[in-house]
Amino acid sequence: MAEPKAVIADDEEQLRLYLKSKLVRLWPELIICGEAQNGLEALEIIKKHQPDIAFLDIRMPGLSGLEVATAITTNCRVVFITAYDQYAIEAFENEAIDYLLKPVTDDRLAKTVKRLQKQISPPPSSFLDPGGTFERLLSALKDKPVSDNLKWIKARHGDSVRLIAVDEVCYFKAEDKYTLVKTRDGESLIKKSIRQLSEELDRDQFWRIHRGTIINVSKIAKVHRSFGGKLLIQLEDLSETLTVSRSYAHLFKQM
Amino acid sequence: MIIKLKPITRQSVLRTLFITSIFNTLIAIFLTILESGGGFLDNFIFSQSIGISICSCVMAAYHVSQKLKPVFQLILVAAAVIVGSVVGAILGALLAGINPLIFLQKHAYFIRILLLGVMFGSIITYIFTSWHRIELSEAQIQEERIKRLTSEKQVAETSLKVLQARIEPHFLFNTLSNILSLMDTDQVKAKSMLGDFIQYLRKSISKIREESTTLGQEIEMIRAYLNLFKVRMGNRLHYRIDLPKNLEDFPFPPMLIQPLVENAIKHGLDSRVEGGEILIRGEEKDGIVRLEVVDTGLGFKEDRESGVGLANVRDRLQLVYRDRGRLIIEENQPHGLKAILEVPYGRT
Repeated sequence: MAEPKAVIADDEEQLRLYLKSKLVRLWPELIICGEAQNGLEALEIIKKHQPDIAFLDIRMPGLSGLEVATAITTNCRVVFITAYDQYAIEAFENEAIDYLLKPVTDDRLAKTVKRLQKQISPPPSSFLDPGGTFERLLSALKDKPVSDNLKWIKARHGDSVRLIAVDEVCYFKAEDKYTLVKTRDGESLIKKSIRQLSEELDRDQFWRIHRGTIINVSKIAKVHRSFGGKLLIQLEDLSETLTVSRSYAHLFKQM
Repeated sequence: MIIKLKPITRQSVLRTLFITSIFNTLIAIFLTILESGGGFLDNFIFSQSIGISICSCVMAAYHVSQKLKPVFQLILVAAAVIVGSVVGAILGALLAGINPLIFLQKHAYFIRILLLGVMFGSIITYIFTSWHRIELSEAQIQEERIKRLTSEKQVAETSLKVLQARIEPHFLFNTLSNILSLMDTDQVKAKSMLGDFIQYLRKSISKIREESTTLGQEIEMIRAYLNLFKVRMGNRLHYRIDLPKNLEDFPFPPMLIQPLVENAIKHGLDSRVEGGEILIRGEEKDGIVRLEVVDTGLGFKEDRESGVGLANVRDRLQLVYRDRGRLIIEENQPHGLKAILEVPYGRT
């Protein structure tokens, strides 16, 4: 039987060296056939050398360890390495996937090595991911469900392009051909129209209160009714009030 | 005494008019009992029209005089009471089916109505004003209490967040495993990294309770922080710090710069295969201290969350400098991001 081969992928060189030196001591027969410093490299090495084992750091530039694992098509047992990923660890425990915590201790690594040795010899069973475990994990561990809502506004200020997080915006107001973006710190003009914005922004957070106005609901200080029966909105940290037009007054009905 | 009115809303106007009409009814009953004037119906019509007319005039007077000096406000309100009674008396006469021109002959009768109107009008205006003042000062006390409690809560919350940011577990464990691994391979490097780590922890943790440190000390902390990353990322990270000597003693709130540097590494350089450079630059110009954290990393991605870190920095700026401090994020050329902190030089 050929000697087992392994690849180590971690963007931090020190940690690769460290794991390698430990593996050499605990599992002298194991051949480290490649070291990768990012996810893309790892995948390349795995394709080229077809190792039996891949030690993959979860947070790597290029591709994350989880993404690499999902992309592996050869027989390769994956061991994840992480410094701290609470949710990932929980998921690994549930799916009975091998993982190592940084800093890697001798005891823990010895256990993992023992288990790997058992799995690899004598006949290598299928290490391919049969139930789509990695894919399931990957989608479960994606930071958050990615929403299509607009999160940043780009606004030109002289020569530079300023980025404004939408959470920071107090309101948008149509002004001629442009749209005024008002934040606590100041104003910017953008080309995107109120109509476009109302389609792209998160509707729970941004309410259209007028044909030409969208407000950030979380920035409302108070709403009151004027003598004429109009709804007026006072925003936090700003002196101006905004008027709610009749066709949008129903939004504030319960108040 | 200046009377600051709460914003006039439909509700408050209706309430005031309603209470006034109750007073008017009472006055009508009172006058009827004294057997003064006509019957109850006439008294009722006159007192209602005079009362409501005075009330409307006084409200209008308060509204227009909000920004005037107290003396002028008082004169305006007194005038409103008189005008209100005259208008009310004429309206009352019309409603009661009397030709108001009759007042021209019956001076005494008209003056009596006016006197009654002015007398009751003044008393009721006084009562309303006092009520309003009490209500307003209670509201103010309440508001101040809420303000104080929220700012205390904010301070507690932000210092907790600051603490959490400083000992972010991923950073902590990664740094420790690096030091541990270096002990086997390169003890000198291990020692220097541990030194930086201690420096970072001491400089940051001991400052948490303090509201302000100096820019120089903050930058020292950032230097230690960047050194730690330098060991971890090797050639993928280069950094440069450029702070003029005269800004070193400038008082500065702790942990405003660190989240920006952390962002630059985490979202900018660490996820970029070839890494990049971080440049930290400070300058004072026209009474404004400007601090830039520039990275040449991945830069802006459409789907990037705006991040708790940045929101936290903004909240703390607002807390310390009110609207005189700000955080601006710009695109860096050719790639990467530029985060700019601006605070007033002469801090209050």
